[in-house]
Amino acid sequence: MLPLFWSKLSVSGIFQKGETKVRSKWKYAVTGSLAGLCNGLFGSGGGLFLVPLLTQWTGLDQRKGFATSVAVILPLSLFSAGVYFLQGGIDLRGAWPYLLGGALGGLLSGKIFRRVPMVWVRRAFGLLILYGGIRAVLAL
Amino acid sequence: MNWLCSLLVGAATGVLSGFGVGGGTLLLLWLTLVQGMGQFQAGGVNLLYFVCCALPALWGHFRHGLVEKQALLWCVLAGLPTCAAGAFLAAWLDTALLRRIFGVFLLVVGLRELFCKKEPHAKSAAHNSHQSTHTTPETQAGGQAGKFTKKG
Repeated sequence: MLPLFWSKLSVSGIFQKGETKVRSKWKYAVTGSLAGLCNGLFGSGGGLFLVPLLTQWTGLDQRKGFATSVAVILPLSLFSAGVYFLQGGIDLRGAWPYLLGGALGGLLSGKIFRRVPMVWVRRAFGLLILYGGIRAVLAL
Repeated sequence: MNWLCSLLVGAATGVLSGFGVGGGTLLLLWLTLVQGMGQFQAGGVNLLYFVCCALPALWGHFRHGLVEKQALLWCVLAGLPTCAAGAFLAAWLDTALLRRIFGVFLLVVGLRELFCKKEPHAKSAAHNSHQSTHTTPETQAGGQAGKFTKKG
């Protein structure tokens, strides 16, 4: 963590302002392309790349990293959903309750986002994800 | 009754998705493990779900000025082509193999998230220290580098 943060600051000290800007554009582009690959391949998980890379590599502040990642994934998801749909991968009949529920949850999250302790949310999430990962790898 | 359960699951993961923590991934697990949907099918549902969920969440994020426009622009521009490549690959790959790859990815992410540190506060403290006092060694390092930036 600290070395990353340190190198970012010293780099921006050595290069001139314009070059720093180009550098961060390049970093954003790499981050975005990884997220896009994940989003397209699994149909989820772009944010799991975006948040750590945006906060630790490009040096965005934590909350901004989370919020920006949501904004990035939205157009990516829309695009992937189009491709999935054309490949016959979407069954709309069973999907609508999830879509409606997701919209409600999203509305709520936008309201409470700034007051939630992220660390504990992330740790609980990590546990669930591990469980899912073990089952998926072992094909249970 | 079944749809009500789906609705509640969607809402719960929707809150997480809006945070950007990975609610979509959890929903994907629910669809594949509990509902027994195939990885590719579940991915499709999940993508649409995310669009529905992100719109209202972003409305709040934008209003609070939490979205970094530069990052958004460049990430999306670079992300679209790889996104298409990934989606075609997913349709082409064997579903069981796809699920295994996803599982490995989940294990890595799960471990990292489980042991995540309280970086948000340390980090923002280091950022603020550019202008304010330096107390701990960590914030001091940030502060000195900050001065260096201004000179350069």
